[in-house]
Amino acid sequence: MKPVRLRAVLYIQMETFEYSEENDRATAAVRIAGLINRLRDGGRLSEEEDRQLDGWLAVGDNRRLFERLMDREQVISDVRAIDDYDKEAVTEAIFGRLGLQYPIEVKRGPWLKTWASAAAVLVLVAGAIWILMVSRKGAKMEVASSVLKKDILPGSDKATLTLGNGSSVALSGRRHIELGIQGDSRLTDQGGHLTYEFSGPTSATEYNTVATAKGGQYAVTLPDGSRVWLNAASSLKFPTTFSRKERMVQLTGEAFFDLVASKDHPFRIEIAGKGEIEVLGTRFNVNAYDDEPSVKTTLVEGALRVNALAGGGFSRSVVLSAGQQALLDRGHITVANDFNAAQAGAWKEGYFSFSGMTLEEIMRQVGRWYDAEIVYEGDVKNERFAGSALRSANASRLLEVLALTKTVQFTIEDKKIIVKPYHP
Amino acid sequence: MNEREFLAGLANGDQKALQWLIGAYFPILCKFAEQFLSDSSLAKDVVQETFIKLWQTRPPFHSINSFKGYLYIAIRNGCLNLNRGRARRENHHQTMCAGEPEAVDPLETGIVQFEAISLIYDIVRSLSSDKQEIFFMSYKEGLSVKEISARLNMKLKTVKNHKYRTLLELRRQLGSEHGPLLVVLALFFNGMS
Repeated sequence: MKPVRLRAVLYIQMETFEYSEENDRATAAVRIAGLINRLRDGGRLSEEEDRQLDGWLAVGDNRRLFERLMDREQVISDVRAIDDYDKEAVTEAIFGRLGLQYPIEVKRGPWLKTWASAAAVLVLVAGAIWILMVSRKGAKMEVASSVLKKDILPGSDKATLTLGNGSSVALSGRRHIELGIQGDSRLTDQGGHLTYEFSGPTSATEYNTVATAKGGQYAVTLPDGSRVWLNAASSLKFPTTFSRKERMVQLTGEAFFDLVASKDHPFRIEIAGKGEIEVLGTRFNVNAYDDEPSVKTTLVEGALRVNALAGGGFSRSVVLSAGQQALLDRGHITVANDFNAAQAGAWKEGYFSFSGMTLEEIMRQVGRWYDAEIVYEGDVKNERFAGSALRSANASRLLEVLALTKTVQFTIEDKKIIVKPYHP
Repeated sequence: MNEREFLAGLANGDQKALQWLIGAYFPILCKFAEQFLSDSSLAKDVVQETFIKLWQTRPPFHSINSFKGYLYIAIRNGCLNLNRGRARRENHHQTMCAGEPEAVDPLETGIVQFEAISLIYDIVRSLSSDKQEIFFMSYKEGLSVKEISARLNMKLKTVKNHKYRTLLELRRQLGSEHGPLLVVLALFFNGMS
């Protein structure tokens, strides 16, 4: 593989938490405190919460702490003991260190008197003049973050489920919905996750399809307990019961698979017209969008085989081991080693992760997630970037970060993102 | 700003989120840090540095609880690093090793202790000092936060907390593997409020 030269490298260091045991314990402690708060204030706990609290109380000196925290007088004296501090000074110090303006400019409501708005206009005009003067002098201005006045909201949990009989159901990812029986499975939809559970044998096998549009994502637990996360503009077709011999699904777009191991039931993912992936039980990401030059299979754990389809039969096959990525392109397969496999599943953890990707590749992901059309004005497609950004943030957050490299700039018009080379 | 709004604000780089965090949590976290550092001005420094680092990196958070857990761990680590550095300089290695035998982790106890008063602190800090006294008296009498708010004629977070609780409930049902989607959900709930 050719070494990648990065012209514009921006790496936002992310303290990604690998969910260490300590993080879990800290989060659990926060939760326990929440339960105590509620109990003290006369609220009730569910059975499950009761059990959690009891578990915590049984450890060490926790019961004594609990009694102390339930004592309102004690709480009052604890709150009183919290030092008075100069909030303004602390805030100013922190904002100053971060290069942020403090106090934050506040948008005024309609109650603002006219003289005040007149004053604001004056300030604006003065500011504009100042900017003009500064730019005349030729001083460099940080324009990157002020360009994007309009914004695009991120995608969310939504998909369409097509049942065996052809009828379809919109999945909104919000509440708990029982969707009845399909073939051998009971279906529930809850919080962006569709689950198939074995309910009892029937003879009929039906095929269901979960499809996301641009700006959507969804998770599915298949009848065998395997989990699949479906990215935007993707679809997964699968039987409501897997056959005794093998587990076969059809994928378009991108999905992350966490498969339940079953030696006697190989798992096959068909990618129409391109090939198939044959797996025993493992975790991996498949990116098979039609607008991508190749089908990328990235293996996080375990082993799998990629079979390329050409001329009506399988032309080549390659076995991958963990940390490898297979690129399947018109019947040919190339393998990249030492791939940062965790990055391939970053999207399902809620962030974009790029290491040396071209702008064009990045913007394809952006277009799918923010349901935006990408328009290029000028030659920037092949600039490469490295970094991470939250998928839950508005589009501007990512674009502003990319713009900070001073190689590219963006304008948002409704659902269109215009990409241009950077012009100071 | 409540906790949900904070989480969404943090994700979007909203400076008001940082301002809220400093107002609601800075002094509590200083007290927490003092458990690990005897010097209260150093404790303050650690909390300040942690906030700066947090804002510079803004890692993705699945939920307000995991965010808080992260914050407490980061501050504890900051304190321990400082201690370690000083111990090395002063050549007092033993002080570090002479920890307690396998007792309850001071991190967890500290979190429970300070989290359990943070809600009351957040309410009280927004009141004028005479209202604070009324609040304390009524709270001691056994009135609920809600009843006291009615008495003080305050618009209080408890009402908003209803939606927050719905969110917590959702998360409980979803289990951990769908955490990341919650930021999205949080944004959605914000849109409704």
